[in-house]
Amino acid sequence: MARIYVIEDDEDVRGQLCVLLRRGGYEAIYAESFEDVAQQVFAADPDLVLLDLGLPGTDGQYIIKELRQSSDVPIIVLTSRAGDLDELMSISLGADDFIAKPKSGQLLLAHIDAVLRRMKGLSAAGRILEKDGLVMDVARSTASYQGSSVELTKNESRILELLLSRSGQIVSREEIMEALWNSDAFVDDNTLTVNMNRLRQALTKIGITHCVVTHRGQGYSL
Amino acid sequence: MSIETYLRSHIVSLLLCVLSIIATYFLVRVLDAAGNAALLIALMQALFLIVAGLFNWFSGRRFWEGLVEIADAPANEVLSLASNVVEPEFAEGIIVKRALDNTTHAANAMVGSLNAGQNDYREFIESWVHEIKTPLAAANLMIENYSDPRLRPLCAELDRIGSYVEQALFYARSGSVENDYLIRDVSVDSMVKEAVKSRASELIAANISVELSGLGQPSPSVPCDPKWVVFVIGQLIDNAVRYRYIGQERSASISFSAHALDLKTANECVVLQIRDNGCGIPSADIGRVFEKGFTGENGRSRKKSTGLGLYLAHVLCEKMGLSVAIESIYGSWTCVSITFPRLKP
Repeated sequence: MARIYVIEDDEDVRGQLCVLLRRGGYEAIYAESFEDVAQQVFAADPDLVLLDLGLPGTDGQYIIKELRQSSDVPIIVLTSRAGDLDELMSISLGADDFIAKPKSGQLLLAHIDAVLRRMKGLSAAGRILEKDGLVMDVARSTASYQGSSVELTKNESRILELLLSRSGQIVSREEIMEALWNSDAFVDDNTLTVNMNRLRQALTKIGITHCVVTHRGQGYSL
Repeated sequence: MSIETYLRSHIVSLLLCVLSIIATYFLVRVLDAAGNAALLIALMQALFLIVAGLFNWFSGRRFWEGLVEIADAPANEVLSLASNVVEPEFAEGIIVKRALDNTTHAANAMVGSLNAGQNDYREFIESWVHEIKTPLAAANLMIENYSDPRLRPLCAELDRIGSYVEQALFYARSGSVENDYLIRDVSVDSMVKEAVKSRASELIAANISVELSGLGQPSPSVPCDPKWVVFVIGQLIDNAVRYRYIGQERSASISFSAHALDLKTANECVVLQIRDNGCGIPSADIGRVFEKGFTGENGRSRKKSTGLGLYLAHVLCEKMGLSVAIESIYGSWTCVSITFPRLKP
């Protein structure tokens, strides 16, 4: 399980980020004080660092520089400034990706996946989500159950990941469509139904029937 | 000033001088002097008076010409011309110059303080926008992480807040100097996709289908500031959503297409078109849609609009050297075209 180090001063945002990361299959740890953050990061030895540029008292760019002096750890920068300059500066100082807040949590998870895959290879990026024996390897887009496994298409994978991370809750059709749109699949209502059916068929191949439940007028759940 | 103007304005003095020369002549004749002597005296007087007059005209000429330039200059050049007036050497000119200097100084001070005030306010807006994104992010994450699906509409409300915040930021930036953007080469479809994703929940909730196949494979690249262009496209999507088709005959849709025109000529450009099949714009309104605050007939019958979206789109495009045009058939469709010149401006 990959370890993510969160450097964010706002307690609310930080707390929510940790919930999101843990639900998404990561281990999440965070900095409580911001003096000497770089040292804290080195001590924790994470697989990826999430850094908010707007920290009080210190300059986020400075932290990137400090981290890069002795480490290659992937860094994703969270920024709420609307200028290109901050983003370009962060990248040129050594950050690997940036994402503006507020953005959807699912989108953030997708960015983290992409960076981990790029920097550390498929195995390190491995996120495992499971429920009742159904196991999904997010990075490899496979679903397995009792020994057999099936490879999922990009859309099926996004849908299953979303349903698993909210297991037990009803996820609306709109939310699923938004998740697909966020990965550049601009589906409409009909195409969504087709995709849901395809997912069900794929799960049937590994022996799972009736696990994706349709709640008429509300959405789906696992 | 020209010699005719000078003479015309001093016509009284001129006549009196002529009269004095004639009077001198006759006075000398009356005092029994010879005709020649009288003529000589009169001529000498005339000579001195003419030289005096010419000297007067000539010495003030540059100063008055400078003032004429100020009098005829367009408003944006007046203050700088006024600070560069030639220093006069005659008393009346010196008085005028002092008055002019005082006026210029006061005007400059006022402009300076207004500019500083506006800059202060803009900085405030920028930092406000920066700060507000934190609670918005926290709220968004909370809804995603925890909420009952019945609260999902909260996300839509938060997105609306986000839209207004973004509009405020770009409005604040639109009024200031052209230093706020960086131009680089960006692919059209990456910008369109970013804008579409930013409006995903509104588009999905309104059941609007999005068509991107017209953007080309590969999509053309254009020189621009992507942040500004994405904002502009976002505003256009907002309009398309607000004025979308509502009814049974067809389903609401927005399609995007990009074409390169006049390839390999000096006018080479890329045109991005955003077309919706919504309620369109009445021909009476279409000439005014880019005016600040204009909401028109549609604005009153559909959901409330600030009237700023198209205005900002137009202003920002102009600043970037892009042109934006709108066509529509009321009741059928609306199409907005943004033209990107291919060569860097």
